[in-house]
Amino acid sequence: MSLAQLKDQAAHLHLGEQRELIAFLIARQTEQDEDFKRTLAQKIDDRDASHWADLEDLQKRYPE
Amino acid sequence: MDYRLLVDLEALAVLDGMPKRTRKSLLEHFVRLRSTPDRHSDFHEQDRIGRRVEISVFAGYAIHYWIDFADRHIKVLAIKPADRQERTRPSLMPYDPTHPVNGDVADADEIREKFDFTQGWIDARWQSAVR
Repeated sequence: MSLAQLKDQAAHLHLGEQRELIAFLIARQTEQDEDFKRTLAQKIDDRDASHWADLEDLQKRYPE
Repeated sequence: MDYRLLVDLEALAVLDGMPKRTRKSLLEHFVRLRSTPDRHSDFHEQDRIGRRVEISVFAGYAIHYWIDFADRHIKVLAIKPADRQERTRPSLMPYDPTHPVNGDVADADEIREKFDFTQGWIDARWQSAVR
């Protein structure tokens, strides 16, 4: 199947399926990126509260 | 019971730099994520040691987040433009209101408002064009 055919098929997917396809392709791109995977792991393990803002902080920061 | 949603400071910088309308939409999406985080995952990847990281695609951005079921936290680890790898969207030159050439702060705020509005319009046109 050609790229043009793939694009045509993708254009006919439901919106949720298109989002899934985009997320799948992003995951495919980052699965070889060791730096990004390491960064994700460091952030998951980071328990320093000063490195995080919670949703209520954001709603105060952006009152628009 | 809702989770507590936490956003990493680098992701916060991304929020700072995006148009107001997009940011407002993303914050509303975060509220939904906090209530039902597993329902809004479009796909997933793994961190370096194999922990599952969710990806939610929303408003042209890919939101990478981790669900901490034990502590009932959601950690937003990264926010990236979803089309970044494909092509670069058009953008206005960034306006720096702190630059002395650009006048006083009140004028700078007004110009920033107009910049945000125009950039939001460009973003919307771009999103519909690449759809």
